Amino acid sequence: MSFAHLSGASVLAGLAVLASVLFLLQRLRVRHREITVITTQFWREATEEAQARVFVDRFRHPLAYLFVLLIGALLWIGVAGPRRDGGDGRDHALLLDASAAMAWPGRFDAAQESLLATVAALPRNRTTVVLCGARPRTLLLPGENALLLEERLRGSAPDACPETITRTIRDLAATANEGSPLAIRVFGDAPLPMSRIGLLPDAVDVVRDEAPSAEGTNTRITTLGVTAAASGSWTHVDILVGATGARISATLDGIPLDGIAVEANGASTDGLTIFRDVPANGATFSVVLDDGGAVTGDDRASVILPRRSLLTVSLPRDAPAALRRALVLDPAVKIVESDALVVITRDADTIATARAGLLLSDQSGGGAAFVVHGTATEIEAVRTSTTDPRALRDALRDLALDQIDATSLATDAGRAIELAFRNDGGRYIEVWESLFTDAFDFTRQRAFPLFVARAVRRAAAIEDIVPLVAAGETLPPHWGPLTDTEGHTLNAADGALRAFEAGVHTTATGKRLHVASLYVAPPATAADEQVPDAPSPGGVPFDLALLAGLAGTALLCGEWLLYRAGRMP
Amino acid sequence: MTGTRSSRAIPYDALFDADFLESVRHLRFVARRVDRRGRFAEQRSRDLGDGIEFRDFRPYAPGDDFRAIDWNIYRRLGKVFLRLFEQLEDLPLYIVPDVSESAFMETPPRARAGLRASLALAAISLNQHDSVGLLPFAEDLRMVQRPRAGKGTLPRFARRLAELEPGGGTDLVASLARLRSLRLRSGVVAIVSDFFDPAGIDAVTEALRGVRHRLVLVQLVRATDRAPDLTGNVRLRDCESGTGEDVSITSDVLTRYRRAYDRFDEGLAEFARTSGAGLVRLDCDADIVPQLAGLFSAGTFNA
Repeated sequence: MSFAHLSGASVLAGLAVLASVLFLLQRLRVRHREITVITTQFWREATEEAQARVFVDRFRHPLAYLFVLLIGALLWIGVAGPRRDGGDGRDHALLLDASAAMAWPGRFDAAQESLLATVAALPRNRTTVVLCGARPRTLLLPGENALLLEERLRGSAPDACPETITRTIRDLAATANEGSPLAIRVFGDAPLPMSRIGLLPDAVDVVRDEAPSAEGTNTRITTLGVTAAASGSWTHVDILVGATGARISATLDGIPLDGIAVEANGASTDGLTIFRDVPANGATFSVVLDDGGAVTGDDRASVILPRRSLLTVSLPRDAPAALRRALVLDPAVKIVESDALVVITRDADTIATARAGLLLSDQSGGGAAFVVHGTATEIEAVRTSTTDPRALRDALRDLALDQIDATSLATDAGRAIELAFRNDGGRYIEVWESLFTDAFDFTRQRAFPLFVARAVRRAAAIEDIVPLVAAGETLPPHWGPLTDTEGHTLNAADGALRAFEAGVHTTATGKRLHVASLYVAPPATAADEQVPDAPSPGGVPFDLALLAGLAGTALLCGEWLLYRAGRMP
Repeated sequence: MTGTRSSRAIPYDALFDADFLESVRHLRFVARRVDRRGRFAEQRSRDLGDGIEFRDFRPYAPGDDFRAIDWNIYRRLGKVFLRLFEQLEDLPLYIVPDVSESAFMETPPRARAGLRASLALAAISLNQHDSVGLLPFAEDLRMVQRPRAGKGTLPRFARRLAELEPGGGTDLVASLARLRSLRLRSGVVAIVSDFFDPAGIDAVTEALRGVRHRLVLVQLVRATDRAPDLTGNVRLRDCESGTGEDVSITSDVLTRYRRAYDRFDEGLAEFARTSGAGLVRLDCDADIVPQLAGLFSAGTFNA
């Protein structure tokens, strides 16, 4: 229970009650402490104590009563903490920017100091403080003591994320009390373009706290990407690194790269560097700026490379020639007789045992042309995609089936070309063998080798190269919600799914997503007008409660000394 | 003037020890005059007779002892004169310690200081061959030991002191009346008490004036008697009468209290001055012997 921030009427009522109680206590007969002495003859002469047994005594010590009342009132004011209302009748929301940009030396500390000074000057029962890091967090609710804010700010630091101020402003404006004006004050460097702020309701006023200009220069890593090797090697990847104005050092699992072809494209501003044919062995590729400048959070980035090895495939000796040719031409495939990772067969029992590969079915069997066997999660995601066709489209794209000429195939087959999904725990595709013959033009379609390659990779459980996005980058909505490595769901409440925090995340479909610690500022146009700076609060406010509490305590000590000296009843 | 009530006599070992007795040996009383009926001792008496110290001559009178006639004077002057020698006699010391409830209440009790002072006075007196009697008082006075002298008297006296139990309230006026009624041989009466008689100091001094002995008043005091360490609202209960006084301690009350105490103190001192009695104030919280030594600074104390 806290008595802090009582209204003025409540404080006055408390004072009245206090005065009444003290008055009644004065009137009550004193409860004496009994002490045995060797004689009372001198006390009898000295005292005028009334001996009658009465419930109340006469009002004996008016000055003492006033003194005690003063002490009680001061202590009560100190505890109750009455504070003059700001007077403008508005709710106040103070937003502290904790994005990566605030990692600039001294910026965050200066913003915190300014925030604390402002909070002390505002009515506490109408002030909210929000820390706008990767996940905005309320630090101080209306009515809470400002001392809590200082404690809660301790240890806070900017996150490796883009600004979340504008998102928070939008949330606050949406949840603000109707008819109650809201004054939002921003502490930090987050851009506040009028193109967005202007869309807020009239009752919401946004200002920025004055902040000193940043000093020093900064260089940072701007880009980090991984792609398949341009050389065509299945077991290697190419890596793209962009950095502003500084030399970079690259390592693979902490070991400096050796024998890797490096292609540099400019080194002054946003210089791009491509590392060619880096082994795709699952190692962590890291780049560090040799001179990172003022902000350290953007001087380092890393990515986990995919693990790539040749895929062993076995297939019947009399397998369709077009299929065999497509496999031979695939640089990722190695055809073997036995112990294959991927099995291509006509025998349902064999494929049921291997559970990964391609089952060549008989068209006359009446089944669908393509039957995708998969896990429950995978198949369920596709089946529930009637409301969101993007999941089905992704599934088709994964097998390049969205690129085939199904009409032509249906014409040749004399029946519809159907695609079915079956949840049996296998990871193989059942397809008409006849599609690989000259009876159909499937083998002549450009999607054919792609279909074979992707079917083999799906059977071998080869993931695509893990997407790498920059913090703040807008993601496809159906990836959401994202979860981080600790299982926390990352909020995407602003409608657009963004990766706000650097690290490894998992999409709704189970894919891993690397979010690099790269700061992506929201686009600002020349037409965007920034909101005005707010005047700084006028010095340290007069803390009546604190002074009253101190004065009351001092007087209490004085009263005790007087009492001990026998000068107080 | 606060403390806890004790109803037991003070153990012998807590009262007396050899060092204490040794330390008071060099102190002595000297009486101005002693009674005729006394026993041979070291005090000068009004009697001129069988002593060894020459004092005077006087003409012979029928019935005088022939052995006292100074024949040399008779040969020279032809008149008969007697040689007179001063007779040294004993000085009875009646020690009257206060054994009321209040004397045993505090920690340490005033009775401890009072009884040690009593024994010191007894030791002094016995060391110079005087006799010592013990008459403790509380609500009344009683004779515990008649005046005795001799070497064995002091241990007996000490045991008697150690056996004294708290005896109720203080009534010094009645006790002195009892003392008068005992018709004791004239001597020195040493009253060892706080003199806090509910009858008041005027009644006490009036009773003291009725005592026909030389008086030595040993007043047992404490610093808190005049400046009590009390604060707040208290109910003061008299340890002897059980009556209570509700007091709100303020500076005014304390001032009035000190004034009342000073009146009491001055009354006792005034009595001592006007009556020629000795008044000794002993601080109960300090060592008794140094305080007594201060009083006997010249080695003697004239009672």
